[in-house]
Amino acid sequence: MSIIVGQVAFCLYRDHKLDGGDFMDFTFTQEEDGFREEVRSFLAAELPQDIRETHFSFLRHSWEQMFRWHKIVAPKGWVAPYWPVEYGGTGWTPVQQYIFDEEAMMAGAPRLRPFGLKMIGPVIIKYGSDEQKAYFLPRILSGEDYWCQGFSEPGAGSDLASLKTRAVREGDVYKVNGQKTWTTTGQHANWMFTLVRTDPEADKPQKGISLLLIDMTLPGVEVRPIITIDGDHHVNEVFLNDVEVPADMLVGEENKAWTYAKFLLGNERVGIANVGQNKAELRLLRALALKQQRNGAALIDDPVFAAKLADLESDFMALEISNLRMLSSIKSGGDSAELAPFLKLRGSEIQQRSNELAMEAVGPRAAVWEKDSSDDAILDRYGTHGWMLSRAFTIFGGSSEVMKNIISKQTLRL
Amino acid sequence: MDFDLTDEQRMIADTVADVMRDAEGEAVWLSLVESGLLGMTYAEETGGAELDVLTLAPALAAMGQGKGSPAVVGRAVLPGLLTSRVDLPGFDVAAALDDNLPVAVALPENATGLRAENGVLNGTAQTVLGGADAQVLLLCLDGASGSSCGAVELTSDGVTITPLPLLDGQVAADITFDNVAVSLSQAGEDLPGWMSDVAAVCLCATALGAAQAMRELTRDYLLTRKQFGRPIGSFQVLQHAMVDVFHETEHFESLVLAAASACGGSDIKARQKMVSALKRFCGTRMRDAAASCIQMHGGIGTTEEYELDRLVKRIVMADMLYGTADMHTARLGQLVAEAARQEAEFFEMEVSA
Repeated sequence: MSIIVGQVAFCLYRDHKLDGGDFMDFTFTQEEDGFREEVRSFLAAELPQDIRETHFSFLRHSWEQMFRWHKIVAPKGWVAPYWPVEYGGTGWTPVQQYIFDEEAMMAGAPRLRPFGLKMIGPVIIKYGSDEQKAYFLPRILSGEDYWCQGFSEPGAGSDLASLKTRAVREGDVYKVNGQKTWTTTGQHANWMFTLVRTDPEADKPQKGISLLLIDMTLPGVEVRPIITIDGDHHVNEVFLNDVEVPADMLVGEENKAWTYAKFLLGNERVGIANVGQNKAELRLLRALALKQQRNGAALIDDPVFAAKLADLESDFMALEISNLRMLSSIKSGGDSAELAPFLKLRGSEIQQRSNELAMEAVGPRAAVWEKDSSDDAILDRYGTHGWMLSRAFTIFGGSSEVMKNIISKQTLRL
Repeated sequence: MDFDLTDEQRMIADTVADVMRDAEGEAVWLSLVESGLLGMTYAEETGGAELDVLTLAPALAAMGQGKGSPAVVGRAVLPGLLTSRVDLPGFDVAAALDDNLPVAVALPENATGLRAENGVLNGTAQTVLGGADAQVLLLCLDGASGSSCGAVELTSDGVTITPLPLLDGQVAADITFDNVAVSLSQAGEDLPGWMSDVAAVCLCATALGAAQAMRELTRDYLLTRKQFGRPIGSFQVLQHAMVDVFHETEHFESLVLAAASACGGSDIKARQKMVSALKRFCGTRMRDAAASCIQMHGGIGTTEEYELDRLVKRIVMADMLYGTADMHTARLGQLVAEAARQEAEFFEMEVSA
């Protein structure tokens, strides 16, 4: 072995350093820091005090607050950063999108609801007709329309392709019959993007599915609430009885919707780990643990609680950096697809543990159970309600087990 | 923000990996000397390359994938980092590097049984990496009267070296001093803490390489081993276990790189927080991942002859030195509590002291 080997590598390293060349760099650029300041100024000026206070009082935002916030951000042009600029996107890099999300969450803002902005919007942009784009996209941005997702059915959960809701073409309309379920915020929605079966004879169940945009005010659409274990009304059943949907509300081609659905579920990268929200909730948890007492001292100094909290912080730090690694790989044209599903897995797990520790921190008062599922209720106490609510995080958007099946097949090729 | 290795960093990583890949036992020292890698972290003016920790980490990970011994950390990395940051009375760094003098470093956790009073050293420096055949021991200690550093000749009378074979194949040593003269000088308050943190990151980096190799080895085994007439990787319960190992290794890599980066920064609390998060992750989640890989292999995973053996031992080993997972969990908990008190103003609350 020659001494030359090491020396050559070292000389290159030294020259590169002297030239001021690029190195792996864990700090934000000057432009990114400047952007962060711009976002902070916007939030300081525009985020209403009551919305901010809701977060900092360990409460959860009401529907009214969430939607009011959407309508404040929309005129600024910042509600759909991931859309192409020509349709109302911002042209932000994935790292900028992350910075916006992080700053908004840390300021106490509600999350912008994803159904129009992140789910159907990009599908309409990629596969929709010109008429659909012209009509729907501006209304999603402004908040004039509010969307819900008609995917799951009582018999089609993880096995989504087995869905049975039937659409039959009759002249200018599709006649739709069936039942959708777990329809999040369906009680507020005026449109539902809906997977329907148009060809029951197809050789594979995935091949006979189409995507229809359904006006929730059409005759035959009925929404019934499902109250979840946190005592709140988030999700619904939607019954479709002889609903006549105009044929021009078909997205793309008939029987091709499995491709569109995979695109819809797969194109969410930036927000998938919920890093911003996790960070804000961890800060709430720390503040709660500082306020609560155990054995005459602050709970945060209790060795048992402190160890649990440190475990959680350590896992969160790993998530935060892994997420940034993914975002920067998108920027440099790398393939990030492999990282996204496991960020969702760990992100949802961390949210659950954060809620779990909050429930423990609340102590005996966590046994108090108040229930008000009206629209403007700011009730979800950071405690038992949060823990109950968080059980759904590893189920919706692809259960953890289904995510692992996908990763096993696509990434590990087992 | 840029998480990609530059060509130069990749070249360094590949070079270290190539040189160290198959070096075991005494061959480690020869490889270090012959390749010129001995000086990788020494200051440029003493003849070194002054690599920073963030460049070093991928190199150590690349090395950790092979059979190479992490002895490189104790024999080359730590002495270079220490001597480039502090003057050691009576120790000529350039000459030592030029002469390929074997040296080792004792940090606070090695020195709990060591007493330096009135220029005289007594007691035992424990589990010193690279200590078995070192001729000089560099000391970087903390104490009631502040941090101090020095160098002591191990060829002096009153020095007894007891070699200690370690779990991962390298040989450390207990070094006992009986009234040996030493000249200590005052050092920066944070230096022993910084050295310990860097040492922890270096061990974790070698464990990262081992974890990456372990992940590939286990995946290959799932694809080739057949039971019940089909590859065992077709069973969902093993697929999910494998997915978990895959994920933990990715997160571990994130923490290794971030902690290495934090070691180059000026924010002490941020560095301590990141290193403790890393060490806790290594000793809990990665140790579980190693156990899971043994389990997925079945019987063959429990044999010393099989390749998995040394990979698992390297991961388990990384938990032992420079603060176990428990110790770092406790430190992280304290740092988190401090952060919470600083954030308290956001919440307009009375802060309980």
